[in-house]
Amino acid sequence: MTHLNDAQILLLIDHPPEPGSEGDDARRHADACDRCSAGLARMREDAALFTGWLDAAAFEAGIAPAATAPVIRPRRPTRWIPGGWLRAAAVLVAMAAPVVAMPSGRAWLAAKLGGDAGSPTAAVQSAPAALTTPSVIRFEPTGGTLLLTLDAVQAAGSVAVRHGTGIEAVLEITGDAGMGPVVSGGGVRIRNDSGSRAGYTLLVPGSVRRVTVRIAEGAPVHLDEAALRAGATVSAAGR
Amino acid sequence: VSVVETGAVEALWARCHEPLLRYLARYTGDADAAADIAQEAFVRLLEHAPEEDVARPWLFRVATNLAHDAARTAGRRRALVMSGRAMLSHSDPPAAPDRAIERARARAALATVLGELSPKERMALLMREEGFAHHEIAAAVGTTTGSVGTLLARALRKAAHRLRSTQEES
Repeated sequence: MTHLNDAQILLLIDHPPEPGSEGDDARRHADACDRCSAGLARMREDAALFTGWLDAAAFEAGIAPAATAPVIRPRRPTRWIPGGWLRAAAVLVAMAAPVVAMPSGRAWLAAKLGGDAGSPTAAVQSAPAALTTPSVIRFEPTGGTLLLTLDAVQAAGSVAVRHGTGIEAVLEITGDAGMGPVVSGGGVRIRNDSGSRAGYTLLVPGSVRRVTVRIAEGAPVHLDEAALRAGATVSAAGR
Repeated sequence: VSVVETGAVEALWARCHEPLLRYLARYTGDADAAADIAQEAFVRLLEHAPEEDVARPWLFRVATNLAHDAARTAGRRRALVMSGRAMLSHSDPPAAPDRAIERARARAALATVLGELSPKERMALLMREEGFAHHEIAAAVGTTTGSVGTLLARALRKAAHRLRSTQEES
């Protein structure tokens, strides 16, 4: 038998043949052939590496539980219709309904996702409440400096600044931060209010050498590269 | 027999909705966009009613096309917030800063790796991660079962090579 090509090797990994089946020849060859068994091992390593990175990235981590939990709703109660002929018409419509009233895809989907606003009754099974999720703001710092401004001194909360290579500039806001952020070329302005207790995590890429945090009219806090590497935290509630 | 006529949509939902969300989140790098696209893909499924035996790869193919449409629209807007390949989602659960950095780094690396693959390679590789058989992947990407193995192996080798380089650099 000739050596296995990459497609055949991957097929062995993804769809292992039954012993004695037609495809089992390839498996037996791989077992006996140093070159093909090495190829098989390498392909397994590649597949495991890729899967490992996908797991670490957890792209799907942000999907809200509500979106994956179908909701079962009770039937809408039948409405009484006055008048003999009206009742007869209602019966006819009710009989025809299964034939002509195929629900639109969007209506079906709304029901699946629990978004049927027209239902007069509460859901039998509620979707799990979404987690308290941070707002995530991405931006592109210009040059090596970045300015984060909070309009007001908050009731509580802090700004944690984290520095790392290979990441993009991201601001995570956990909790209510008032009017929301404004992104400008050189940084981010948070239009918060004094009652806010929001927390902020600022991830800055390695290209940023200096971060300035300004809170209301207070003196700006300058964080140099050493402070960034150390993982500086600035109180949003004043000092 | 169409998937709608057989009443298999409910079963398909139960089986495919979560894998489709995960696939789209990985394909687009954006969990929020993934949720929207998955919903739209199911609507299309109901409207177009594909044959039951091909409904699953059909759903993923349509969702992938919708993802491309969404990316084009996003590209035109070029908004600063939520632009390009998202690093984190609006609905990301809170994570410890170290974990967030680690996750962001992995996402950045994968965004680069997946961006370097052709759309077919990316689609095939991510469908494989969802446990699709080679013939189903072939149907979805529009190629033969014979050649999809080559496509997958090439994509896997490229991705792994790039990820190893990233590991060595860091």
